[in-house]
Amino acid sequence: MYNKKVVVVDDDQKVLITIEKTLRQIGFEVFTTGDGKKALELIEREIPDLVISDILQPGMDGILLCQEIKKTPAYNHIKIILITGVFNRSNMTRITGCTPDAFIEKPIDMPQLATLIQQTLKI
Amino acid sequence: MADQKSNVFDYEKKILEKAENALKKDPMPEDELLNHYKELVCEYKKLLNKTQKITVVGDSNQKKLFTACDKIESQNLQLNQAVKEAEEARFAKSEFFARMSHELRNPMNVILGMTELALITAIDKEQRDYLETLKHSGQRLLHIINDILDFSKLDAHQLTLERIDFFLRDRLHSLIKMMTVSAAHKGLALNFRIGKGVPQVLKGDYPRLEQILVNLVGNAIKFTNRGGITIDVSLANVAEEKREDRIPLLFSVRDTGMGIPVNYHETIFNSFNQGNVSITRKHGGTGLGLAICKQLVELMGGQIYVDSKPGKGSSFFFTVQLEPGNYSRAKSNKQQNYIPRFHGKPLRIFLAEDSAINAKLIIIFLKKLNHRVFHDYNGKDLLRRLKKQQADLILMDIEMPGLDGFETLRLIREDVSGAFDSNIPVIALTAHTQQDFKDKIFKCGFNDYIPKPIDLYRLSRILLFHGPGKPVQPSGNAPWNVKKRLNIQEALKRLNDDIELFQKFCRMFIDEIPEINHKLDKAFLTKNFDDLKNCAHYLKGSAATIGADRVSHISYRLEQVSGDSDSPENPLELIHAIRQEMEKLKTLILPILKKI
Repeated sequence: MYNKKVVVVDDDQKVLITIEKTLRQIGFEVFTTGDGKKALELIEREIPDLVISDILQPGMDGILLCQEIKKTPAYNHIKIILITGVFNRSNMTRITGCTPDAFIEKPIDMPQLATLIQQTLKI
Repeated sequence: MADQKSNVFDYEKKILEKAENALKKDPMPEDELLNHYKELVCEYKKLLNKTQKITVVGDSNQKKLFTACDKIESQNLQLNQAVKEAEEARFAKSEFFARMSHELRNPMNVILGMTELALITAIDKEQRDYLETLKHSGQRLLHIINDILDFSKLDAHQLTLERIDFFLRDRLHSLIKMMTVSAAHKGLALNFRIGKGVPQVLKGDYPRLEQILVNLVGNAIKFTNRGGITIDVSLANVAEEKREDRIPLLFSVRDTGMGIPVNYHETIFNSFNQGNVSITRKHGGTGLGLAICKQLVELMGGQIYVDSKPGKGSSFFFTVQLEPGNYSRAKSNKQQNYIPRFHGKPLRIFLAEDSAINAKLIIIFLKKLNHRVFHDYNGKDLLRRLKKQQADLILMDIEMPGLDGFETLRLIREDVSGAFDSNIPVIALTAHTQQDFKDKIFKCGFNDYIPKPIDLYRLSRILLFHGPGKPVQPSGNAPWNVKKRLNIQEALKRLNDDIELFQKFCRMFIDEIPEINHKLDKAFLTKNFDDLKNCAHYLKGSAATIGADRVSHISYRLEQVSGDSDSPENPLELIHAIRQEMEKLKTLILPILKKI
C-alpha cells in the first residue's frame, strides 16, 4: 500500500474506469470526475499527490487546470500527468507555458500507465 | 293435397262402376234404367259441385304459389343487390383506407421532419429525450400506416407489380446487412444461401420481394431468442410446363425460435391475426404483416406456407415467379452511393411546391444549411421569378396545380430568351416512386429526384452533388482504410487482457453511438465548429480505447478539419464516413459481446 491520492479528470467514462482500475491495483485512493471545474474542487478538498487529466473536457480544459495547479503554492507537491494523443508535446508546452510532469497517450495502456505513475511519483 | 284428390275420385269411380254394371244387365227394365240415370245425374251434380270446389281451392293454391315465386324472385333480387352493395362497400372501404393512409402519411411525415429539425436545435438532455421518443413513436406509427396502406391496396386490387432488373446476391447481401444489427442485438446469426442454378440477374418487383423477406426475417428475429435465421433461395419445382420467360423461385426463412402450434398454421396468414392474442400483446404489431406477405406472394404467382412445431423453430416457405433479368440494366439500377464533395458555398435555391407545410419543412432545413430559399406555389410564378432573379438550383414538386412539374421543366429547358440558364439543375420532388415514373422523370430532363416524404439528409447530399462544384465519387480506398476496423488484440493488451472490462467498454461505446451521431450532425448543421471539434476529439479517444482504430482515425481528421475553412478535407464526408464505419463496427462488436 502506497497510500497516495489521485484525482483523475476525463469526460470519457471508459478512460476513468481504466485509470481507476490501474490505480487501485497499485493501491491508490482514486477520485474521478468528467468536469474540469469539479476537478479543482476535488483537488482543494483532497489535496492529492497526483492529478491525471485529459486535455479537452467540459468545465475547464487540462491545460488551464495544469496552469492553475502549478501557480498555487499549496499544490507545489502535486504531480501532473496530461492525457494526450493529438498535440506535439514540445509545441504544446511552448505555446501554453504549461509544464506537466509527464504525458500519457490515449488509448491508455494500463501496464504503461502503471510504470509511468511509479516513475513520476518516484516510488 | 294429392291424397285428398284420390279420395274424391274413388267415390266417382264407384258410381261409374255401378253405371257400367247396370249397362251390362241386358235387357234392363226401363224404370231401373231411369233410376240409374237419375242417380247418375244426381251424382254428376255432386261431382260437378266438388270439382268446382276443388278448382277454387286449386286456384287459390296456384295464386299462393305464384305469390311465393314472386316473393322468392324479389328476394333474390334483393340478395343480389345486397351482395353487390357489400362488395362495393368492401371496395369503398379499402379505397377509403388507402386514401386515409395517404392523408395520414403526409402530416406524419411533417411531424417527423419537424422533430428531426427540433433535434438539431439547441436543446437540453431532457428535451432531447422527449423528442427522441416522439421520433421513435412517429416512426412506428408511420410503419403501421404503411402496412395499412399496403393491405388496403392489395385488398382493393390496386397494387401493381414493378419489373426491375436486379442482382439477387447483391440485394440479399444488403438485406442481411440491414437486418444484422437487430439480429446481433439478440445474439442471433443471420445467413443466406443461394442454391444451384438460380440466375444471378432477375427481373421482378424486388422492393416487394424484399418487403416479404423483411417481414419474415423480422418475425423470425422477434420470436427467436437463441440460434439463428437462414434465408435459402432455390429453383422451385413447378407442375406446369417450363417457360423460358418464367423463373420459379422457392424462398425459405428458417429460424430456431419458439415455433407455431399446428392449429395456427392456416390462420396466421389471415389479416388481423397473429397466432394468438397474447402474442400481439407481448410483441406488438398490426397483425397485417403475414397477410400482406400472402397477398404479395400470390400477386407474384406463388404460394406461402409454414412448417413449424412449438419449441422446434419455424420455416416459412414461399414461391414466386420472376423473369430472367438483363445484366446491364441491373447494373444501372444498382444504387450508386456517392458522397459528394463539400464546398460549403451557400446556394440560391428556387423552390416550387404547392403544399405550404411541405415547403416550410424544406425551407427551414435549407436555411439551417445556410442556403437562401425562394418559394413559389406554382410553376408559373417560378418561371416569372427565374426571369428576374438568379438561381443555382431548382427544387420542384411534380404534382402542382396549373402548370405541373413536367410542363414547367419543359418550359425551362426550351427557353431561348437567355434570361436564365436553361440547363440549370432541377430536382423533382414527388410522392410517386414507381420505377416507370422515375424513368419518366429522368427522361424529361430532371437532374435528380427526391421521393416524398423528404429525407432531409438525402436532400442535403443531393444539393451538394448538383450544386456548383464537381462531384467526386467516394474512393474505395479512403486514406483511413489502412487502419484496422477493430483491433481487439491491441485493445485487450492495453487493458491487461481484462476481457470483462473490454466487453464493458464495447457496450458503453455502442450505447454512445446515437448520441455522438446526433452531436456531430447538430454541430455540423448549426456550423458550431467548436462543438464539432470537441465531439470529434471525444470520439477519437473513445474509439481508440476499444481498438476501433479506423473510427478513431477519421475522428482525428475531423478534429483537425473542424473550423479550418482552407482544409481540402470535407467535414460532411468525414461525418458520413464515421456514421458508416460506426454501423459496421456495431455489427462487429455485438456478436463479440455474446461470444467472449
